[in-house]
Amino acid sequence: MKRLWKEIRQGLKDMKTEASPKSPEVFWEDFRARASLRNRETAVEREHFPVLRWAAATVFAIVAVSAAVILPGVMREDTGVSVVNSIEVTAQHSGIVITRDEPGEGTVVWVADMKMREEA
Amino acid sequence: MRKACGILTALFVLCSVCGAAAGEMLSVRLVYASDRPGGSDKGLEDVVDLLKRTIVLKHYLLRDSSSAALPADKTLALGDYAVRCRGEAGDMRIEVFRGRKRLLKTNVTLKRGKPLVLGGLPAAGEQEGREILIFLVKKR
Repeated sequence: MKRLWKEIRQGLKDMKTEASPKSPEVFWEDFRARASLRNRETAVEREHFPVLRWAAATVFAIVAVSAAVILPGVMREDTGVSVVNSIEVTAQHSGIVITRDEPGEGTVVWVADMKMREEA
Repeated sequence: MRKACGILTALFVLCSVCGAAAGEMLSVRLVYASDRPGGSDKGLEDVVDLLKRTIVLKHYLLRDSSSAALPADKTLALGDYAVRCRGEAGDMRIEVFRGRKRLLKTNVTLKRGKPLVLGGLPAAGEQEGREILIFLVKKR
């Protein structure tokens, strides 16, 4: 048992890596170098990010306005034909015929025998 | 750069709004129709088949044409007629006058590209034949 522990201790000693403690000067020099590098990256990010953000906002605005303006016109379906909701003929006439022409997709209103009052 | 993007966006929005406003127009044509032999005018190519199918007359002559931006509030002069158009395509009031006399008034729903033919008007100074008004909403 005692031997086993000895072996373990020896094994651990062998595995132990050489620690290389830095002197305070080296440590702070290294720290300052890293810190300055980090500040530089942040400055670069600050310089480019607003440009990208504005470019993205512009593209978004263009797409949004295009969609709002163009899509309703494109999407709107003009189904059916033109419709006469009401009609009142004040000149003398004998009748009104309203027909729909399916092939031509047209609506025809024909006022029969319309005459001007002075002609009547 | 930021200013340029802002100006670009503002210009685009302005152009889009102007484009949207300049959407549709109403075209009105005055046609003389008679039973005399003859063809039809070039300006009626889009409706001549419709006219021949529904109004059984042989000769169609384009006498006048005019147009108005929609929504409209305009009186169009077409030959001897004054055609007053008020409203947008979906709800339009049309009044037809000859001189000071109103011949008819109607309220219609016009669909883009689907013509409305208003016929049977007595032809001015003609012994025979009738006059027809053709209303058509188009993209401007």
